[in-house]
Amino acid sequence: MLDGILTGLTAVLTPGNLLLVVGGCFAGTIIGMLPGLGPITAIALMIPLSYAFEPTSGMIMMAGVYYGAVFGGSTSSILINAPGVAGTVATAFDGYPLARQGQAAKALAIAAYASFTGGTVGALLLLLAASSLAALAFTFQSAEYFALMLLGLTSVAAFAGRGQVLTAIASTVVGVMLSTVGTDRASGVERFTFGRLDLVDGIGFVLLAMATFALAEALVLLLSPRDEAPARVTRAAWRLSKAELIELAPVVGRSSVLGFLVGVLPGAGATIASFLSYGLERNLAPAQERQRFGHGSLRGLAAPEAANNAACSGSFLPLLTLGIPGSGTTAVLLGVLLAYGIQPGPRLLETEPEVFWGLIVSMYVGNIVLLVLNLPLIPYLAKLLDLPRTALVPLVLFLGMTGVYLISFNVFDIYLMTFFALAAFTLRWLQFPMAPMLLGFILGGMLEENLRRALLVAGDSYTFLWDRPVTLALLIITAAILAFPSVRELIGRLRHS
Amino acid sequence: MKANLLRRSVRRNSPGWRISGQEQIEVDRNRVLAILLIGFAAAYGFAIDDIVLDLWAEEEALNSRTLPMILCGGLIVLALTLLVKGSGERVQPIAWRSLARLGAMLAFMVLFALVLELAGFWIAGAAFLASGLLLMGERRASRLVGVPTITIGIAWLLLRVVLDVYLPAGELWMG
Repeated sequence: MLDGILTGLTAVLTPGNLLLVVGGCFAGTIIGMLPGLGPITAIALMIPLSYAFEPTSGMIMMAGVYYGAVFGGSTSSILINAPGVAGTVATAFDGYPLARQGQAAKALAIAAYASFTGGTVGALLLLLAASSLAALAFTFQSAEYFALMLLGLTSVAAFAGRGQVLTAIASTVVGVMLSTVGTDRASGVERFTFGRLDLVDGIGFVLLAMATFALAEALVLLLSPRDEAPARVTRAAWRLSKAELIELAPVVGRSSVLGFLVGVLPGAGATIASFLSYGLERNLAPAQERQRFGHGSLRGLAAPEAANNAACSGSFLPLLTLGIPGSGTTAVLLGVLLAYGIQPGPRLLETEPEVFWGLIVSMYVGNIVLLVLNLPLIPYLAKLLDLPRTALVPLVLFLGMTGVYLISFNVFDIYLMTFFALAAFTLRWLQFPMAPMLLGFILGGMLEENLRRALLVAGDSYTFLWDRPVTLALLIITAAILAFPSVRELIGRLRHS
Repeated sequence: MKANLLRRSVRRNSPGWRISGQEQIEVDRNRVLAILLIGFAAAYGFAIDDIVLDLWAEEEALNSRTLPMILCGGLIVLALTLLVKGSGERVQPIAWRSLARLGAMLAFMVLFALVLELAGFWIAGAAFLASGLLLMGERRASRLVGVPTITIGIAWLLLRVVLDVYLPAGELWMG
């Protein structure tokens, strides 16, 4: 392994490749910040450029673009509540409230530090445990994925404030219902399309996320166009105190390991990792801190940020060792590797050690570059919030509509987004939690698909739920998480009485 | 006195509609939510009938209609629970003027979508931004012209020139 690391370092630490990592991170950050353009688009846009370089250099640049785009997505989530990709939705839950409270610089700094730690831990774990974890990922089948999706949905408990459990569950159900719109991938049958071709592919994630978060927020701001005095962003504003660092260190550590392990599983990826870590940290937090989740908790921001970056490193594992892309982004990267004539899989380590180790080391270097590049930019990025509300509202709406149009080049999506923005505005007015809806929407499709596949394998019998030990264990954890708040309340009552 | 008593009794028995001196309507938050959810679930439930199943699908343990039916039933149960329990909190009233501004902005968004491919990204975008600024109370000509021009210019440069992403130039001008 030491030889491998040295090979990777030799490949990456050349002036040309370092420049490519810096360029990739910068381009990725800029593209990721644009609403509607996530890591997949960023990598796809850079493909033609990557062919100008040899495979190792091209892949090193792509890793930089990937990390940069993930961080750029977090920036737009924090500053304008516009998560461009599913993996950064959880970042907005506490990042945006922090920005609204005049702590945008601190929120961006926490995101940068947590991303750096998550990415670094992920890269180190990838170095240490590549082969053994690849075998573990292989044991996961549809039944386990179904149980994992259910476990992911239980993090809905994390979004339910006092007396909001019913509305949070209802919101999750609405999200799963929206995920059923479009062609049923298992049978090819159209559902809820009303004969419209525009709906055959279902409702786009970016469309729904933009409408329910960024656009609905802009519409809320529209009701009170008077500006609040913007908080001055100073150099000290993004520094973290020693107490904050001590508080956040274990959160980031736990989330990084959890994120990496979830990221290793093909199909699970950064989204489930970020939601799970958010839910875990909320449950572990002391009662007083728990109340701050969703209203600007530093833990609530650091956890999903560390987890989604660690999951990005984890998602490379099935790609490099098994040749299976674990996410949409790694699928595009697989295409890039194949175009170079490189076949990822168990033999990649022997046939192309430079590419394998170069990519892993470049992830670590990319994280350092990202931190060095973004920390000085924080005061300038946070200045975005100083824009007067009279300009901010139309700009957010315009960027949201343009972003959604750029994905499908279909104006129907703008109409649909306007409708969802109005619906989300109404629901927010009624204090209906929107985050569980998005969670239900993201996981709903995967949940149904895996359940049907598991049933098919088990011959239309539900016995797989208790026959497979990992599935059973995941289901027990799910039940325990659901029962935990009630049990805690019961114990509290018993103690009081 | 009698009117005051009546008003108090209506307030206690939410969801009650209270017309105050300022013409505001007060209702229980969760009950309004429940009615909206039941409406959504009903529309969704009716649309389940339109899902055309394959011949053998009805014998499957889980077909294309199963999950939608479970979800629809689940949402109705949850909504009914919300309707019965209520929240004890009232909906915050919104001023008519704010609602009018909201309606106008939504109309601008629809107009943007209508003219985007016809008039092109430059004109549709600039018109939307200028109208939005006007609606938000901006009256300075420099900003009404400057903000749309700079925003569209940067977006065009970044998307069209640097990243080579397609942006509609306008069917009206392209022939």
